[in-house]
Formats: sequence, C-alpha cells, structure tokens
Amino acid sequence: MKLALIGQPNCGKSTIFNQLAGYKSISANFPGATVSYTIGKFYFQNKSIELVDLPGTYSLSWYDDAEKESVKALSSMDFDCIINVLDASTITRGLELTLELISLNKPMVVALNMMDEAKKKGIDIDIAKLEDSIGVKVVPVIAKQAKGIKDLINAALKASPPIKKCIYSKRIESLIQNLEQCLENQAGNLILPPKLIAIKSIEGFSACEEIVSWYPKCQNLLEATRVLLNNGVEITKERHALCLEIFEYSAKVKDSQGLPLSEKIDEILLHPIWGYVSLFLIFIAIFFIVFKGGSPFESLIDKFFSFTEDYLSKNIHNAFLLSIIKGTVDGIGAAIGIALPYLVPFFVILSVLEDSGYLSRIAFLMDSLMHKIGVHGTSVIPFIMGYGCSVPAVMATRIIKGKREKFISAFLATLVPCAAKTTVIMGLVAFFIGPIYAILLYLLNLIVIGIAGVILKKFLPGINPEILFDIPPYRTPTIKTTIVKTWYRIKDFVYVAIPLLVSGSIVLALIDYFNFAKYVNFVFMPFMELLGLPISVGIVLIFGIFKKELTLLMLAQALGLNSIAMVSQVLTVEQIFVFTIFVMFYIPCLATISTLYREIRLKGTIIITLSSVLIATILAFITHSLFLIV
Amino acid sequence: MRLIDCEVFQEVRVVGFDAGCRSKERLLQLGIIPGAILKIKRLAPFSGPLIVSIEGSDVVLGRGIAKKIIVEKV
Repeated sequence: MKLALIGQPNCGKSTIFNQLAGYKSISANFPGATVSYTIGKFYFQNKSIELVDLPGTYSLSWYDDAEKESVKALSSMDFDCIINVLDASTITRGLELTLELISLNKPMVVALNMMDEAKKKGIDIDIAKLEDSIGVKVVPVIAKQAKGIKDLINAALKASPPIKKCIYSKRIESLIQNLEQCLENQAGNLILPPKLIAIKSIEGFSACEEIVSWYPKCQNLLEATRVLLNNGVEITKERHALCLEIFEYSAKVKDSQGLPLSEKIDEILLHPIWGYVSLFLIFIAIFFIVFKGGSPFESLIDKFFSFTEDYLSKNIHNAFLLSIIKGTVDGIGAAIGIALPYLVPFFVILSVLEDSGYLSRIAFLMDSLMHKIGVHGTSVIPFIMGYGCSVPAVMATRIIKGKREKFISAFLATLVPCAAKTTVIMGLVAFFIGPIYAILLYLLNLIVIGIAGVILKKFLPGINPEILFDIPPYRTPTIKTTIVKTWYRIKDFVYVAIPLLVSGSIVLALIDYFNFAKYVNFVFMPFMELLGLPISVGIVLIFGIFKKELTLLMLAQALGLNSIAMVSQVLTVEQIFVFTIFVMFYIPCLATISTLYREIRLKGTIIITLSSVLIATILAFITHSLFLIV
Repeated sequence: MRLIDCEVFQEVRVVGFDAGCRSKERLLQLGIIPGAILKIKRLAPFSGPLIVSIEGSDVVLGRGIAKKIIVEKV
C-alpha cells in the first residue's frame, strides 16, 4: 500500500507524516519547508503502509524546483491513494489544487487540516456538504494534536476515485476532452495523465505546452482551443469561481470580533520602525543565548575530557597506540564538548523561528536590503539555515525562483559559517582570544557576504523575479516538536561528526607515524608561508574538506600537542586569527559540494568552490598583513 | 489603476495583468486572479514589498509586480 501526501505549501503535510511515520520530515511554519519527498513506513491494522510526503505545491503546474519535484513524483510513483491535505483556514485557495487532483481520477481522500485555526478565523465547515460538492471523502483532522489521523488512514485504505469527474462547464469540459482524446490517440505513454496535460497546456503552462507541441495535430487543436478560451484564462476563472461556490455552499463565516491577535503582533513586528528594532533585538538575544547559554556545560565537559586524556597518557606507553586512542577521545570530545553547548541552543532557536512563522516575516522586512545583494527576501531562509548546516541551506534554495538568484543564494549561503565552522571559531578565537572577537568575526562574515553579493549581482546578467509568497499565520511552536526537531538535528550532527572525527584522527596518527605529513605539507609550504602559518598546518586544511570540525581537532595533533587547549602555546594570536578566518570561508565540505552539484550543477559548484578558496586566501592574507603592519 | 497606486486598506478588484508580468502563474495560484477582491495591508519601507490580503490569507509581493496588476475600485 503506497499513499501520497499532497497539498499546498504550509498546510501541514509533514506534520501528518511525522505523526504517522515518526519524525523524519522537517516540518516548519513557512511555505516550502519540505523541498524533496520523504518516504516513511508504518504499520496500520497489521498492514505495512508506505507514506510519501511530497513538497507543497499550489497547483499541478510547477513554478519552482520544489514543486516540480512533487508533480514528478506524483506522476512517476504508483500511488494507491492520494491524500490531499487541505488547510481549512485557507480552504478556497486550497480547493484549486483539490479540483486539479480530482482530474487525475485516482483513489483520493481529503484531509481537512487545521480545523482549530479555521474555527478561530470564524470559518465553520460542513463536512457532509463539502464531500457532496467535490465527490471525495473528507476527514477533518488537527495534525498538530494527532486528532483524526487514524480515521484518515482508515478512509485512505478504503478510498475510491472521485465520484464527480465533470467539474467544468459543459462547453469547457468538451473542449478539454477534445484535446485529451487527441493526445490519447496520438501519443502512447505520457508522463502525466492526458487530461491534466490538456488543461494545463490550455492554461499556458509551458512544460505541458511543450509536450503537446510534439504532436502537430494536437498542437493545432491546442492553438484553436486557446483562442476560444481567451488563452485559457476562462478555465482559471471558472475553477476559481467553482472554488468560491463550493466554499459558500459548505462553509459559514462568522465575523470574528475585533482585530485578531496575529494582526496585533504584526502591527509591531512588521512596523516600518518597530519591526526593525524588534528584529535587531531578537537577533541580539539569539546571539547572547547561543554564545552564553552553553558555556557552563562547556567547561564541565572540557574538564572531563582533559582528565580522561591525562589518565590515558599516564597509563598507555605505546606511542602509536596512544596517539590513536587519544585521537578517538579528542574526536568525541570535540563533538560533544565544543559543538553541543552551542548547537543545542542554536537548534532550539532555529526551530522556534521556523515554527512561529517569524522567518517569513524577516523575509518581508529584509527584502529591499537583500535586493542590494542580488537576491530577495526569501533568501533569508537559506541564509539563516546556513548557520546550522550548509546542506539544508543549499537545499532550501529550491524555493527560490530564477536560476541567477538561486545561484547567488546558494553561493552566499555556503559562506555563512555553519555549526562546524562555529566549532572552530568558538574553539579557537572565542576560547583563546575572547568571545567579543568571535562576534566580530561573525560581523566580518556578514560584510563579506554583502560584498560578495554586490559583486555577484554586478557580474551576473539578468533580472530577478520579484518576491511573491504567502505569509503564514503565527503559530505557537509546540514543546514536543521543538525538542524532537532539535534532537534529530543534533543526532545527525553527532552521528556524522564523530565517526569522521575519529577516523580523521586515526588517519593523522598513521600519517604521523609513517612520517608522511612532510610530503603533504611540502606542497602547501608556499601557501602557508604566504599566510604566515606554521608549515605543519597544511595537512589540517586537507581534512577540513571532509568536515570542518576536523580542522580544529587535527590542528592540535598536527602541531604535536596533547590537547586543543594547548594550541595557544604554539600559535600566536595572529596565527589563530588567520587560521580561523581561512577556515571560516574556504571550500565547502564534501557533503555541501555534492548538494551544490545536485542543485546548481557542475559549473556553479566549481565556481562556488574555487571562489570560496580565493575569498579565504585573500582575507587570511589581509589579516596576516594587517598584523605585520600593526 | 495599478495596485501600486492604491491606498492602504482600500478594497479593489483585480482586472488583469500587464503583458510583461512574468509572475502571472504564481499570482493566479495565490488567488490573485481577475475578479478577485483584495486590499493592501501593509507596505515595507525603503521601497520594499507590500502585503495584500486576499480571501483570508496574506500574500507578500514586490512593488514591481504590484505595478503590473491592473485593478479597479469596488
């Protein structure tokens, strides 16, 4: 049994998915949180059920890459039933997609989600009447509270194709049918159902128009039909009118009293002055929490690991064995002791930002500023996610329309210091020189991103499509989701980081043992001279390509020190700065490079990778020179 | 009249779009279609985008797009 969850952006597909298949799909309160499909399995009444969570799409004609993913999956995977998730609080718009799905003529149920929010808005929906007017079984659910989910799956298992197939007026329906039949006769296997291609090509959706153009007979018919239907606008208008009709027939709207709470909040948070003041204060608060929140834990964990290391060096006498074991302990220590104290508060905040609906509002506030660097407000989402990890940040660029803008967003998002780079900044600059300098590095980073954006905007031809998205309502993030989301992100980090850190340490120990490092370092010698770093650091930067935290850990090992805490005995303040700045900008890690390749292809990936090394070198060299002058 | 020329909170009806409007498909999907009634709720400063309210949801759109939406007073 294979079920698909499909619906408009931000209607709660992933929340339903997570309730059923365990927390696998990132849910958040902004349109486009899910950018690729997620498959989950669960058992229901002793039956194994496969559930696919598709990225949100407003209609079956895609506009951005995330939506294309959805439509492609919908037509290529063989689903036993389509679960159309419908946000009850914006039901008129959601019905547009429902009507399109009905034309697919597959077994289908409607999950009417967010019944509670609709009620708050004063919308009261009569389920029986709604079922009657669309000819599809409707199940009311409140996904966040797991209400109605069992009924939904029960209905999905018993679902049948929609009863009402004819939804347009007779005239339009017969014109659609003519084209549909032509496609059926002329073409064999089409990637989409012929009826859908017919409707979408008449409406002028280019991907479907292209399919029709392969068959000259149908092409002629399409052109004639489009003239008759005012370039397809009549279909759009009729579908919209139908949605309104269904809404009026099946729902009652009570006037809500006074200004709703969300309007009152927006009055401040989106205010021309107070909006920016609040934004500034919120970011100051976030910085403060991330920088200060974890430090008590850090010193505690640190003590534990330095004690363990002392104990080990006293009791193990085989030098080779000791370096491997210590490498392992160091690796685990770096992941737990340095990364976690900052990552846990950061991921909690990120989750709250995502789920409250504020992220989209930042996009609104920052739009005109972002235009200066060649992107628009929506790119705020990948940028902020970039502070966590570059991989989801680059994936989030899927919600950005326009190749040029997507490239610039991906480029700039990879320059944002991710959690791993933060580990290095915290472990070196904040620890040895002072937290205030770490904050200055973050500011430097923002300035560099700004300058890079201005340069990219200047040198890449083309204009950007403007900002266009729907703003989600405010929602209170639930404690459960926040904890679970943070836990999964931390788990991902630790699971990937620890094995890499440990194996990195072992490889380095081996290299050291066989005296191989000098060859690698020899190649990098001129480079290290240029930046005024010790020659032995060269090999460390190679490891950084796999995972950025490795650079911090390897640094101590490469310099022949017992622990990271001793780095300041060998490196000067200048060298720490130069090293950290270089690591902050140079080459995205392998996982990011492969994600870049998937999103923006080879050429863009090469440009971003090489530019990042160039930017890092220039900045590190400037820093080095500045210290020479001062 | 263009949407960009409207006063904040003034209710207007969408008449059509300029030929050069490349965002038309998305506008239609978001419910901004000929005949629909909408109003501007908020303008971002520094010639930033605007928020329009349409059928109970809020849509953010850039000023360039608002220039290309033809509307009439209700």
